[in-house]
Amino acid sequence: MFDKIVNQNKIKRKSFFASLGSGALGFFVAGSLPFKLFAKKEVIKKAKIKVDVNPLAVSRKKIGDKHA
Amino acid sequence: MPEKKDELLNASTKTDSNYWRSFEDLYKSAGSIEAKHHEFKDGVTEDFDPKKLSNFSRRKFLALLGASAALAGTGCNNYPDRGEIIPYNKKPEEITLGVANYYASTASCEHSCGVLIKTREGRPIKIDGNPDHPVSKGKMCTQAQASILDLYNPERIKKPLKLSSSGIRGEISWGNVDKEIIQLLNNSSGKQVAVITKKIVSPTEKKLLDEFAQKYNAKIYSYELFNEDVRNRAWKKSYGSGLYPKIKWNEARVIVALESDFLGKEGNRVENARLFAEGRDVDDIKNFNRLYVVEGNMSLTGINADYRLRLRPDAQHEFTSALLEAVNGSLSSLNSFAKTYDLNTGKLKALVNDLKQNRGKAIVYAGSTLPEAVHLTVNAINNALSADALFNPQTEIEHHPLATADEFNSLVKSMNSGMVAAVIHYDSNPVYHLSQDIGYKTALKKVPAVISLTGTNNETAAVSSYTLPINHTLEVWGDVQTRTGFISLQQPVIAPLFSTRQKEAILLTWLNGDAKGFKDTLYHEYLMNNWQNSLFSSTPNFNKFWVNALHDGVVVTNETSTASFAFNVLPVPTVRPIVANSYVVALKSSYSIVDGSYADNGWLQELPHPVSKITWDNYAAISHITAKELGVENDDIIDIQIGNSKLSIPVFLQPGSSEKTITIELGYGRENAGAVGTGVGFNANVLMNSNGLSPWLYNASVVKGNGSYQLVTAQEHHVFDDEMTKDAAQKRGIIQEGTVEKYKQNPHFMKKEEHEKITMYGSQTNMEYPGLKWGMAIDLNKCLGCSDCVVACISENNIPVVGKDQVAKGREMHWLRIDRYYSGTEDEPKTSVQPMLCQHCDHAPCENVCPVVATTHSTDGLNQMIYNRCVGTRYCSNNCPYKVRRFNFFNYRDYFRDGYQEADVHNLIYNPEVTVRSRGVMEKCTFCIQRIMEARENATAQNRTVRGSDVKTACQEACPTTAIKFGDVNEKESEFAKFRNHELGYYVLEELNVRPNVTYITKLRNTHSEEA
Repeated sequence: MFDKIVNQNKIKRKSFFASLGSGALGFFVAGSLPFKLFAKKEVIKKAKIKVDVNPLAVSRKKIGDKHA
Repeated sequence: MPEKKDELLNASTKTDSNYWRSFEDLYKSAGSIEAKHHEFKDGVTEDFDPKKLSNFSRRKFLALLGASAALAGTGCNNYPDRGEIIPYNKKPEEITLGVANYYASTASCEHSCGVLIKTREGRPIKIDGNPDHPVSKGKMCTQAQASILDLYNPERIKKPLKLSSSGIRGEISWGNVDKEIIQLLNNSSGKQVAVITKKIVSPTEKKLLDEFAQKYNAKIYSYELFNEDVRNRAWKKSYGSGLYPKIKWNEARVIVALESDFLGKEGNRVENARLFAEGRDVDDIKNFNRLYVVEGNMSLTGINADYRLRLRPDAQHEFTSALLEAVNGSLSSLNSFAKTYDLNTGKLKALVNDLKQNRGKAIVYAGSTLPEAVHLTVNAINNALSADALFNPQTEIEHHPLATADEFNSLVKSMNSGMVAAVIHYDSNPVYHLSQDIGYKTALKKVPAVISLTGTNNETAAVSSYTLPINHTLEVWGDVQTRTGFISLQQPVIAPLFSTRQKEAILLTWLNGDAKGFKDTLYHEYLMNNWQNSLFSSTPNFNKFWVNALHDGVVVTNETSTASFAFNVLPVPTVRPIVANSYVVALKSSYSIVDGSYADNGWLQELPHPVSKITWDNYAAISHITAKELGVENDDIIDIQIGNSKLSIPVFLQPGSSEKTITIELGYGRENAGAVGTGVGFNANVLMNSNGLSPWLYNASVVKGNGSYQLVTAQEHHVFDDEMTKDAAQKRGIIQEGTVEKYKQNPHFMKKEEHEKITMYGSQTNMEYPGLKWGMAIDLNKCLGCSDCVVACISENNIPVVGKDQVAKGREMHWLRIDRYYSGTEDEPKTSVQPMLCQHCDHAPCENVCPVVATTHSTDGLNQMIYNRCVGTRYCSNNCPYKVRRFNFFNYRDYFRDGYQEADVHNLIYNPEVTVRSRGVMEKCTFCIQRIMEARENATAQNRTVRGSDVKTACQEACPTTAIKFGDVNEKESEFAKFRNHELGYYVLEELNVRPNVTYITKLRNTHSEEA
């Protein structure tokens, strides 16, 4: 009797992985698609920006600095 | 169911005055009538049957509930990508975290202002003036300051683009661009290559263009929409050679400006303003200059006039002829002219007497938009007045003459006949700028290759086959030589943010004929070589010289000018009378966006016009009498017709305008100027043609048009309409004025009035500030109302652009505004300007009413804002008598142009020392608290206390006339204290006893009597 109850409540491995897989897919789809569809469209394209100084330029530390 | 059937049949004919719940109910649809016969919906009254229940298990229900909660949690989260936080362990040697670096350079503005660019951790955040620059002397124009915004414009073109045969612009690699264009140029034999550029100010660039022209049979066409061509042409006729000299405004005692806005637009206005203001020193009252302005529309120069006369621009020739006669002794023509044009003869007589009595120190200056005949006559007047004593021996250098209208016509002819192989738009926009009757845009279709070198999209790039993105001024090498005596340098303070190239380097690659020959240092080497081998060939130890030159940003040369001012006596041009009953249209440059080149700059678009205070638009300025004649009011549309060109534009009733005169600023109505500038204002360039009195002056027919258009102003329109508000500024003592004569007779005339004031609150216990206490003084004699300080404040304090709709609601965010007041009549108004900012009152009314103590007072006298405490009740703003507090009704970075100011690249502009405020927060001037704190830290490091002179606020630093002083109120010996305790000093709304800490120095008008 006990074995029967245990067997009845046992989660089937195949169904478990199928649920897990569809759940993961669901997370991905829900996280990436529906809400972004309604998000405000960006008028400006994002561009990767890197800030670098030009090594050949000559700087000073103070406004009124005089050259050496 | 007979009843139901009858009801259905009669439903449409039956009238029913009952309430209705839906359109189905109202229109009595069959379903609706059917539903009325059932109290409950189908299925509701059926018996309960457990067998029909779902066999959905509790476990499944809970699993789905959990899954849906998790899905909702995942999908609804809004966790923005905040980027990576990484240590700055690979920093360049010159960078110290938290400490600014400064780079000397030269701006690409029309005045080539010498600038110092402040960078933090490698990114430029503010542009200040370079004190070493011989002309701008530490100051710069509005456009030079605001150009930093263009560096971080998210709409900069990031990669080269090529127009395909299907009409779509797609990306192309630099390598392929160079290969294709070099091939094209090599195959252009026998045909012309045209290079269209703006005015050339660089000797090295000129050398490069000449070499390019020589190799590829190219011709250089340079142009400026507004230029000094007419003035210079007249000068050459009068004096034989050279260009019109610069004026020593500081030495002039009497200045007569004829339709000339030399303080606002013409020439180098930063230098003009500085020199003019030197002659408005209240501590040198004997040498106070006197300014007469004769003009058709109120200009920035006009609002600063001691005497102003209204005269339509096309009558200036007749006026100058009469004035020449008067200077030479006969007043009859001038009197007759005064009668014809209803001018005040008393003023005219005073003008003539002043000119005669100040020979050698008096000058008449005609506006650059006036016809050549006026300039020739003015040259004769100045010769009679010995005005050559006021000419600066430093002469302007013209590297390449501007192309004439005939040359452009000839180019278009060649383009149409297929004789032009390629047109290279070298950072220029002729499709927008050139007059339509030339037919330039249409002719471009006949050219096989149209190449545009530009930073952002524009009207010319839109019709080009190649659009090549170029570096911003802060990313380039270069040199600039505008006049004799010095040469300045441009250096890149940041490596290119995008895949752009310096325009000179692009040309150099094509010149070398090697598509693979490009490298980042290409033009740097070319520039250095030119300096070493040509410009400064005799300099020993060139490398050291070069580094020092870059450090200073300018090299002063010892060349002496050979300019001579020998006048050729010419017959005075015959006066051409005005066309009777005609309207005259005067086209002017915009104070903020100039010729439209800065149309995509939000700071400049939102900057209120210095006279009308209108933002985000241009308009036709007319007098109230002309408006009545046309049957229009403010915002109504008028139709202007010049030849075949027509323009519909809203009107603005400008006090002080002459009758039948219509003044329009150009630079607006751009079709391709990005999210910020496209469609802003009206394109009046369409009115330009070759049949005008000058390129900027036309006779026109004008009628009332259809409809109206809302113009938005930062100040009210109708100051004259209401007796309650008329002259209120003067009556309440907000603006206090006197005359030079009055001051000479009684230097304490202001103090006498002070005792007569009524105090609203009586005496209160005054807080003591025994140590340092900050204060400001603004000299209204030197303040011209140019708004340079406003832009400096915007840049320093991360102030957002809000857009036209918000300005219409009075929600502009500028911490510092220039109030403009009129007094007198609509026809002859007297104008006063007054910078208004937080007065940092000792008894600040804003502090008392804040329920969350978000605004408090510091021990050094500052009225502070604590943004994190502010809950946005706006009680403080209500209680501020000066109305200088600004509330963030929105997160304007997100609100304006769909988040334009939230682009990643735009964020790089922010001053890291100033909090970026968001929605619901009140803000206002802080006296640049971040600069005070920096000075305090530096003083502590030097083991001393901070001094008042250690700090310069952003507005003070930018003011070209040094009208703004800042310092320690308690430092009695300082320069600032002299103004703080000046006998002409007063506080605005002093009677409220809020004890403000901004002192205004009374404006003195240099009239002939004590009465202003």
